[in-house]
Amino acid sequence: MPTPLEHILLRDEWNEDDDLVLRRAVDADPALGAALHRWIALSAEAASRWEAEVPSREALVLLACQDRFTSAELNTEERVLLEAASGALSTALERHPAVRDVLDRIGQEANAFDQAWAASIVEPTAVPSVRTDRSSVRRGMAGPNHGSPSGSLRSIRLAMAAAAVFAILIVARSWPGTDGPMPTATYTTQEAMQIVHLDDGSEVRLAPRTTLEVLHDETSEERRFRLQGDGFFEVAPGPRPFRVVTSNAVTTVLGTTFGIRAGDGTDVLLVSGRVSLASLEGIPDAIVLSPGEQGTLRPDKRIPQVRPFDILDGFEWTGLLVFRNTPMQTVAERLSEVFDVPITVSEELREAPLTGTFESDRGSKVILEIIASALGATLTERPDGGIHVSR
Amino acid sequence: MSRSIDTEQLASWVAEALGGDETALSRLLSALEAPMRAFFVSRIGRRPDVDDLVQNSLLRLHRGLGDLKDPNRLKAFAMKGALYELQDFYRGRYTPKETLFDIHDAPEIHDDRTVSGVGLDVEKALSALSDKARRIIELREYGYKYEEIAEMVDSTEAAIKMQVKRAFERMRDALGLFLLWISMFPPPER
Repeated sequence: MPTPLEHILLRDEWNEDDDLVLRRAVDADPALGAALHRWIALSAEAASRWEAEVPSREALVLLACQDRFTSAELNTEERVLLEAASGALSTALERHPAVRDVLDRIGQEANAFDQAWAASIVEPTAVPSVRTDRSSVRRGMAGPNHGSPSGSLRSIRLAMAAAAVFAILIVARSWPGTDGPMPTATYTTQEAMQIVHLDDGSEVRLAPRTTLEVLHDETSEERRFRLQGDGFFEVAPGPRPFRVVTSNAVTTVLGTTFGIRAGDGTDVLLVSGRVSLASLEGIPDAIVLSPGEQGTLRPDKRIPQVRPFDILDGFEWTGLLVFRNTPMQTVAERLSEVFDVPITVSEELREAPLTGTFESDRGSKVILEIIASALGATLTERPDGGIHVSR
Repeated sequence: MSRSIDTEQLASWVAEALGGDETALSRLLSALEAPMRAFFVSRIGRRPDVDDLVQNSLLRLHRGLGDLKDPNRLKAFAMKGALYELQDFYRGRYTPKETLFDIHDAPEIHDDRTVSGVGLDVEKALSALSDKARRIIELREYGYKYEEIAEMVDSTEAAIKMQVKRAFERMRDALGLFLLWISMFPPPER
């Protein structure tokens, strides 16, 4: 027969008999009751601290599965949640080592889900080499309003520094010719922008009249692509390097990156992380870009030139609004300009840095709601139709 | 177990369901019941709670289907929902105990927070725990069973329970000293 102490401390299951035993023991021994009282208060305090200092359970799921879920597989709220949780994780781990145990446990649970899924659902056996038709692009693009011209394919994106996805935008104005390896898959857009989901979990936003060729298969040592036109890449991390070949250059993703390119030849604008840019003729002349730098390789040059760029400009064709550690006041000014809505920010939030990527077609209200959520701020409509952001 | 459903069929049902096709939605949810059930059984065993978890996960999926921009990402979408539900399940695991032994029903003792200079408040008691004991308590409060905690920290269930008992005994001894101290030097009347 377990002691009363074991009833309160060590039982996984609880029933009325247990409760009766416990109450009798407490009646007979007030000191035990006091100690139990204290123990429960202590446990409650531990739980309370956990609640205050550790990301929510949903956030822990997202953190534990960062390598599993691409940015495209998270909804707006989850992206905000993950971004905030990523920033708070190191402190939480420091104060609560059990957080690591929970993250590991959730990872095991995700593996268990994989197994349960595999036992019930048949996955297609297709590999990149068989996906040469363009319909797969359109199917991948389908979204909730499949076939609808107004299908809400776009979601607001928060680029998360700690998320296991990074992005790069590359534009090639001329075609490199027909030499080189044969593509294992080809995606071509006509008059509309389309999103292509690659087998490694990466996602590419192709501008109108753009062609992307996949130059690798499952046995290749690298992920290699050839681009003609404008492509915005959100690249899933993986053991194989990710390279994009354009008319005169090869761009290699070296880390968590967000880049853009525009103009003749090959330009790469880097927002965060690292990217190398090299002429197709001379890898030794490669440059590694730092955040905030634009690398330009003109058709008649071997060595790329580097200069700083303004992150707030240059993304217009993508329909994206990109911010990286941008003061909230600057964000508000940019949104005001784009949406023609007066937006003001309270004093304490003006310098608050914001990192995020938003699709402008979602409108100022939705974007501001996300930003407010990330900053713990509230939105107030002003009499003049403007919006005030404050805490 | 039969494996008659493939991901392309699921993606097709998702697209149709998003277009308002109730039959497709019904087929989709039915198809997902098997992997969901298998998953929860693998985590918590065959128990009545599994039915609730499956139902809640499918409900969550139904409600959030509009967020699924790409039908081909259904697996990730379903996995997230199932993992969220499982964490919620852990949270509610020991709730009944809290109502059975309500802290407010416990025997009255002096509120040490009113006694200046006596360092036996809850916060200090928590700080006095060993790292291992605190780790176990936190995992317990998260909702894990001792057996699961033992697995997580690479120990045995018996060893984990012994850690908890020791921590409790130490706290009780300290409390005994505190009550003795209080009886000798009661706080001033207000």
